[in-house]
Amino acid sequence: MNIGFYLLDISNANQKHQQILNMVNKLCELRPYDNIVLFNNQFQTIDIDHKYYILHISEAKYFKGLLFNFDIKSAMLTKTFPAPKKQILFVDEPEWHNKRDLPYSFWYNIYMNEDFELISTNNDIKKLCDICWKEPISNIENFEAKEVDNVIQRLL
Amino acid sequence: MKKTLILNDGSNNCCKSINRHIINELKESHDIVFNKCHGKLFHIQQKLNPKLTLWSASEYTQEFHDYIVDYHQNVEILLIADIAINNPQLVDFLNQTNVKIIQSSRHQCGLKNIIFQYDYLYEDSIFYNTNQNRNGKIVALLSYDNDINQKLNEITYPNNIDHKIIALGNPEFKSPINLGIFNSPDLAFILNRFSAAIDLSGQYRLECQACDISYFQTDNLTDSIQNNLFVEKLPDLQSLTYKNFVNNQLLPHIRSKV
Repeated sequence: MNIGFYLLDISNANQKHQQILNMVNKLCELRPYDNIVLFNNQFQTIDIDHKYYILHISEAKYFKGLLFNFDIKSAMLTKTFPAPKKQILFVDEPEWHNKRDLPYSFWYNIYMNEDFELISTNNDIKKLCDICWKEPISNIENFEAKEVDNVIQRLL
Repeated sequence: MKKTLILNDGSNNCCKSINRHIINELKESHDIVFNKCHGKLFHIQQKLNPKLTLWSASEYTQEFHDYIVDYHQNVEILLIADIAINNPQLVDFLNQTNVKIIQSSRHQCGLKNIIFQYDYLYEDSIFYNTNQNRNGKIVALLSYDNDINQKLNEITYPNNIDHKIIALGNPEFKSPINLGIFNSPDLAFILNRFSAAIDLSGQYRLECQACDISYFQTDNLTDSIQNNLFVEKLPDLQSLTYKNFVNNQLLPHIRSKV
């Protein structure tokens, strides 16, 4: 099974990024026989204990597997990738609310994209996604590896 | 020899639709100059000697004003009063010329040479029922006046989650259910996928009916939503299209002049 994580501009100072990298490492322990890949554009800031493969973001479009995204910028870049079997977007804030002058079709093409599933990071976001777009397939707080593993099981 | 018309490209849907249908009907029989004619109007007039010019009040400029002064006796000038003309001196000026007015009934402003009036019209080539599966949700089309939009708060997230209601059309409305802005094709897409609409400005009734989406009464939104109170459908929607207005009213006049 191929599982990818698309994470732009990784920074050691970014707590969310650190949580995600910890989660990916734990997922490698939970799924030792899978190919788990981090796609990123900042090689120098990656943690030294990583158990996952690392590829440049430009390789993600050839990645035949599940591809996880963590922000709207990443989703914009990956939404037209033909190879990923399914893409999963973590929604941790209503980004449409901060940029209300953008067209509805811009958000629709991401959140309602048939190739995308949503994962919310709290109950409020879950309700909001359900009202505005579609029901998230899961609600995962603090990027728990076990919960992500459960989601992957359901998508197989 | 074909006669020439000038159609100035407007910035709103009304002008664009009227121009579009005129072009569709007259493109074979007439030479049509269709462009943003600002800065080129006198040149086009001197070069091509058009017999008719169609302009909109929302695109009114000093250049067009001077053009009226110079040519209103030789050229049939039609002005679409798509916005209110609030300048009394301009109204007096237009009343003293041969400029013919196509008046929106929503913007009465004392003009005299009115040849046609139109109320709300819609573009039937964009707005029609495409028989898509509807999502069971309600779309609120926001007003430009953000004070009016505030009454939406009592029936939407986070104050009320009984109904799935999203809002569109005014970025000033601060709410997590505000999903941005839309253009006409977007709106047609939206009206074909949602199950009901709340039109806070009251200007999309025809489009909603054309797409066959339920159209809530807006006097008391809470009551309307809870009791499914919808506005009755208009009996003769097909007569309220831009195509019908152009073909049956405007074109006979244009053909009689050029």
